[in-house]
Amino acid sequence: MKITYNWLKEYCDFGLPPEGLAEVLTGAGFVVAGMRAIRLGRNGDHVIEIEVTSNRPDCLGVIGIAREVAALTRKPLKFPPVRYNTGKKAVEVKVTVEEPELCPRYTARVIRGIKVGPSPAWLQQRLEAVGLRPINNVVDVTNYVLMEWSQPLHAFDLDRLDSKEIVVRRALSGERLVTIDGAKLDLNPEVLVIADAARPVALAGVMGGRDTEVDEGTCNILLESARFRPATVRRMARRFGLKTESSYRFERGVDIEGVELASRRATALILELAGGEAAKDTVDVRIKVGARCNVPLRLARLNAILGTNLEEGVVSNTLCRLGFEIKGGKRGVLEVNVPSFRGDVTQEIDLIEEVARVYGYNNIPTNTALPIHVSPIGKQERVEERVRGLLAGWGFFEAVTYSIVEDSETSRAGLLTGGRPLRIRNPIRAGEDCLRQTLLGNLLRAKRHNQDYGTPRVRLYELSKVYLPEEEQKLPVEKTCLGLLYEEDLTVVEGYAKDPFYALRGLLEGLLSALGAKGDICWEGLANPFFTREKSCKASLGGEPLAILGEVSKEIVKTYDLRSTPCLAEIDFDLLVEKADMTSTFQRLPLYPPIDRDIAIVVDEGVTWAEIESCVRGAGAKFLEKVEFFDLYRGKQVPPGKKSVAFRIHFRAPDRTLTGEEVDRAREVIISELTRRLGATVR
Amino acid sequence: MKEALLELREKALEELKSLRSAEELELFRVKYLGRKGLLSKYMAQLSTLPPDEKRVVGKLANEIKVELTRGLEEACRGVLQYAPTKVSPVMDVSLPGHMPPRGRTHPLVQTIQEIKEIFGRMGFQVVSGPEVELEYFNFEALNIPPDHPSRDDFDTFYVSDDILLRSQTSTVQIRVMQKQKPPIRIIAPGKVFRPDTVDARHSFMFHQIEGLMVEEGVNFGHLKGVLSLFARTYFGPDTRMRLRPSFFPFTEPSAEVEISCSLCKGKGCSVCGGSGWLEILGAGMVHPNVFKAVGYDPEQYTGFAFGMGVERIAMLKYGIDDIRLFFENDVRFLSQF
Repeated sequence: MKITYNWLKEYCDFGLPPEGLAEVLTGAGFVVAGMRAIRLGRNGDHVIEIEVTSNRPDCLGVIGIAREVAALTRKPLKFPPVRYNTGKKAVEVKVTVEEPELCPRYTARVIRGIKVGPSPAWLQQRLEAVGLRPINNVVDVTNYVLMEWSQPLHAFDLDRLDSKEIVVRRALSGERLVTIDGAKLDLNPEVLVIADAARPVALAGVMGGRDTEVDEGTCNILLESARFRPATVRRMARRFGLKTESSYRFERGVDIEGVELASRRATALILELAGGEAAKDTVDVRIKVGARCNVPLRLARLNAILGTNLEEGVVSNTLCRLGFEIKGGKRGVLEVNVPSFRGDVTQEIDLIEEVARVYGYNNIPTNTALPIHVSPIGKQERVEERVRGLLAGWGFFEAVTYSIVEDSETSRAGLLTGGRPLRIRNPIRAGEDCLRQTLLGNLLRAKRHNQDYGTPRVRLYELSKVYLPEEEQKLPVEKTCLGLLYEEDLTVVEGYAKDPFYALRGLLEGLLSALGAKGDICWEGLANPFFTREKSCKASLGGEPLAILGEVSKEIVKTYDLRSTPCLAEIDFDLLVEKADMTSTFQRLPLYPPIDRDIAIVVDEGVTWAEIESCVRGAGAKFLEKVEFFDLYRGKQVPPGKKSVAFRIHFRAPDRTLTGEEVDRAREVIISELTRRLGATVR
Repeated sequence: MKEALLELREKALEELKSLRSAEELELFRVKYLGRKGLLSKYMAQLSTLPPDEKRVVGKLANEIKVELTRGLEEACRGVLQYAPTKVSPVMDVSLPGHMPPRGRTHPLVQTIQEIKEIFGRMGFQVVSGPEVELEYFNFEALNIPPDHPSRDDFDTFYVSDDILLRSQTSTVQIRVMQKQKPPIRIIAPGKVFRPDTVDARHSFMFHQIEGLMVEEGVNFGHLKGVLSLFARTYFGPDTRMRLRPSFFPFTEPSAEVEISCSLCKGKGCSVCGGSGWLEILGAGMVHPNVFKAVGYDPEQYTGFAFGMGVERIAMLKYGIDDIRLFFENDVRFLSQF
């Protein structure tokens, strides 16, 4: 909101230069966002732009700000004159409020015989300084008083009101209104209007209608000053896209007593600037309001909340300067009467804030004496930290992508995908309204972005949530997933050693080992449109689905317009955390050395390493400690349809060094089992 | 044999004077001092001499060897700067090393980690809450009345009438207090969502960190204490902090917390808009209505809460001028942190 320095000074002689004023206001919660010097006629002035928080509609006018400045600088507050002379004629206007809930107070004054014309220079200049366009003396006065009292007013051309009647009612379906700015609005019963006997003449609290506006030909006016229900005005302003100075204030709530004062002030000014005669009476339709409330304030409570040691006199003095009245009370308790313009103050804590605000937050002593507490680091945090460290060390960049994805992204299933995606009712872009159920699509998009900006190969990961729908009216299940996108730095070389699929599988095994994940892991083939059929698999840990991984399919490469073929993995991170065991236990180092035997066997293509390993372990060979795969070979020395698999076996006894014969016997046992069960021949 | 040795010496010393290149020096070394050189040959014959003579000749041979070796060294220094004995490949240590690949943790996550660590040292524990939330936790329990503008479709993403994407991490305060009795010190980082059109300053998804401390006897002075310790630790020991009144429905008194601009040291620059101060977080004493909503007695317990935008803090700390960079995941950006 804009005001000018000199305007403010009319109501409080605070004795500060503009910069000093800005500092005082900002320190009390009215941020001065901008200030610039201007010339008004022969005098200089400053336009001050103030940010007013939504709880303080009383400060959306010069008088409200003046009241604050007066309290802060301990200077008196002066009000503008609101008295005027009335004529003999009565208002002769009928006002009916059909919706008292939506319009708790409606006042109407009538001024006859005015002469509409341009406003005097001082008025025009002031309005322009605060960003309003001068129209004519009547409209300008209503705007001036709005900026002064934070109370919107509207002047109707009385002679154009059908039957000289005002009805505050809901619009009927099919009714229309053309507003002052020319917009044609289709109305319905959700809309509160000011109507005359025949038709709507204004959108309540938002904007007046063109048919009844005041212009050069106007002689008699009806001056409206009212209070409308904030939510109603807000909804209408939003609905019609009409955010006006008026709706802005009604939305936040105007002072029900200020309705009358502002009306009087405007009447006095109109009589002064446009002449005419005010009717001898006024119309004032209002619902009964209870007595102004008293709020008790305990001094001890105030000091306990603020950590201060303020005395009763200081506290009551501060509140009085802000317009509160102290109605006695017991020792240590102030009975505080809240003025009507402070609708935001209803409880003790509100008063405590008022005192703190004026006392100055920066004057409250800072206290760093706190009892010691230990904050344990959760398992999830520890696992996250370890995984992030490992992945960074393996060359992965962490991505953070949007949880809301396009509809098309939801057609492919990740590890956990299930059910129809949860949708946002009010997306900012049509079609971009689904909560993701997999991280893989977003990783591919990030890959694509990097490809387009000069990084042809990347390793990316995201550690974040997917949202799995539950039954209606229940919150979805949020699962944390780890998505990996892996590529080799160099041109991929065929074969096991350089196959990125195995590299990524190895990374996953590396993670499991680094986390001490407990449970049997099982790898199986997979059919998923993200991946090629041959190079993809799923893993389960302790019987629960843990991960899917593979090389992306040709179709995906095409869909995302990729120039390389990365590998992807999606891992159930919550399961990983659950199964992780990062505690260390000590095991005595073996006293005797192991003895190794390398075995290379030729088997049918269809025989898997998993089968070979389990056959080796199940052969019943003594002293077997470890089986390690080290080579897979197809070529000249191996017949077609077969492959050669090489592995190393460690044998060890806990109590002695094994002899070569013992180990060879064990090796023979294993080989004969491999031959018997898998038809293997030794190479 | 003694004579032969002396003659050898004469000849060798004479030859030594005429050496001009590394190759010649090497040839000389092989000829006289090498394993199969002339001196070695005489030494090998020593065993055939009678003991007396053997001693004398042996001594002489050794003296000659020492003399010639020294002479050769001198000649080396004279002829060349140094005397490489052979031309071998030279290691170029200025060639680049083999760098292991190094990824990065996302700058937003790094920011969260750093902030978590500082508050962790003050006893604040990390907690989290759902991102898709019930309307109750995002608004009602936080003392935000049904008519409040922030509940509009313009300010909150809705899934249904009661289910929304949380627009603030303050929801976690409620979830924690419902389950736990004081004393409470928590920090809750996470994603929040608001239907803002994306531009350099706005994103429909961003991150916040919520903090909450509830204990008997906690007051506004402690709020200032904890936050100033944080500001000085995160932004540097010279950081000054100031508070000004603000309004949030779930805290009262509420404050906007500003720190002296770390770039211009409070003198005023483009980052702080010339004011010398940067707004970094909102804070306040927990509103009694919030305590009532979770079943705490506001007369017994007091506390403070604060919330900060992670993107904003990271942008201030690193001087990043476009929020969209955080979500593009361009490795040219990510590798800077």
